[in-house]
Amino acid sequence: MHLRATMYVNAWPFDGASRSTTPQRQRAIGCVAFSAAGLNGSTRPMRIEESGSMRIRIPKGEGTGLDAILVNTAGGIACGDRFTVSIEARTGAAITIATPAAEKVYRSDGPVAELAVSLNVHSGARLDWLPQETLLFDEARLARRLDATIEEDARLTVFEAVVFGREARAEHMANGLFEDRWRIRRGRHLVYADTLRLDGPIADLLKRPSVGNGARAFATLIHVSPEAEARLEFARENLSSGSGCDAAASAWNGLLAVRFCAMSIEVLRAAVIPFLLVFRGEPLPRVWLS
Amino acid sequence: MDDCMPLQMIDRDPMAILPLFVWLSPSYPVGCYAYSHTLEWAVEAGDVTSEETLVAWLTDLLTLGLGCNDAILLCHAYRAVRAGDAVALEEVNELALALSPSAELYLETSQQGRSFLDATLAAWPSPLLMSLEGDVAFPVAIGMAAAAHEVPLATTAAAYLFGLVQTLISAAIRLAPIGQTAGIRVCASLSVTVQNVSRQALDLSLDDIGGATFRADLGSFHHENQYTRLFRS
Repeated sequence: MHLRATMYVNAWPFDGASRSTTPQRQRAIGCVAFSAAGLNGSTRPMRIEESGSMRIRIPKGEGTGLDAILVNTAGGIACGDRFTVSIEARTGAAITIATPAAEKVYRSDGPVAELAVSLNVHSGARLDWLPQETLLFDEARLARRLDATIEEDARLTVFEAVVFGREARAEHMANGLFEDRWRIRRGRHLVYADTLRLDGPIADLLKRPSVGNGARAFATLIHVSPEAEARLEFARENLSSGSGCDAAASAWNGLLAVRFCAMSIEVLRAAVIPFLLVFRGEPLPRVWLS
Repeated sequence: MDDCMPLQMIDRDPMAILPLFVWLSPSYPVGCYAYSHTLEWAVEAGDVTSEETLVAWLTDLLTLGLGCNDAILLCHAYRAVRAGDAVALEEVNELALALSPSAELYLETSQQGRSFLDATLAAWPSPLLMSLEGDVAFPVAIGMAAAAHEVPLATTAAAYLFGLVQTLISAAIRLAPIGQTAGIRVCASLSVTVQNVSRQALDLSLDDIGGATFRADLGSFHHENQYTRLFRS
């Protein structure tokens, strides 16, 4: 948050401003490739490649694993932007990736912004993909894809939250496109495929009971590991009820899935943060709490 | 991808659709009556309470997720069998199974798919009907059988969706204050939607698969812990 707020907010003034005042801008392109490996019980960075507006930062960690922060210095995502992120956890590595703040996706006059994430988890490694929420403004158009490949004995946790306009600021996502395509391969098999697609009149869609029943914040966690199914009861015990956030878990075929659905991102985070703390058994990346 | 000649010939024979009346009948041994595809939880949660809310719920399932996706998968399985492409068929089936959003919805499609394929291999064998190993998704199994027995694709896709609608309506009649006559009315009123969705699916790719029914899928997670249950999903 600090990075963007101090360096880029002035150069990027149209947080919700009308389209007519939006200056013509260069499409942003950003690319990050990062890999780390386990060495003598700790995780060391092996390769960092950055281009365009994407950066990876590695603050001094406290635990045995490596926490890395993915920073988009363009200060958000606008129409036609293209970002590619590739993370590799080599044998024995333990990596957590987070982002410094909510990723804002601004209105588009047509072109779809694209974000492609590729995660590769080798034998005995652990990778936690924990970006903070994606915040969509009215008429935002984003197509995101996440492709993960993991070995049978590796551990992957993927968490993503999305907010269709902020309730506290009375923002309304009347129209737009959000497509979130996940494909997870374990060993040689595709084990999880999901494409969440809200296309067109998003606020109206969200009112439908099958879609959101008026909710505007969704989150999904998928955990793939040898113990995933055995952790179902533990996950259920730690999903708070009565907090205003609708949440539940299911487990099958080596997967554990948890979904959260709430009227606002604040209510959603209030349910998600304690759950992630207990489920992961270690502190959240510091950026989550600042 | 299709061989034009045989498919045109298939479409010209009005009797070619007869097997669908047997395969999609509730008496075919797949156990469709055991599944509600999240409807049991939707009734418990108060989302489906009447004829109107049932129509809205089923319309969403058909147009915003399950129905459209299953029709696309069925079409691609059908074409893979017509082309004799075992690799493409395996890929469609793997994707169809992986698309299940929960344990119960995985069971729903894989148990019915396996049962359908086993029954059809035993009773309606065909040299074109490949026997997939392991789990089989239900729409994939229907697409395979229809292709092997030269049942026209467009009719198969629409009939499959109608079968799905009927399964869910009969579940709704047991779960919600909705009578037999209202149930039939809902079924008739959804026939246009069924036709539109199945027609569109003919031209869609596997990349077009997707859905918006986030909360219905979450409901299937809740259903696993529902106190009294008549259905397996």
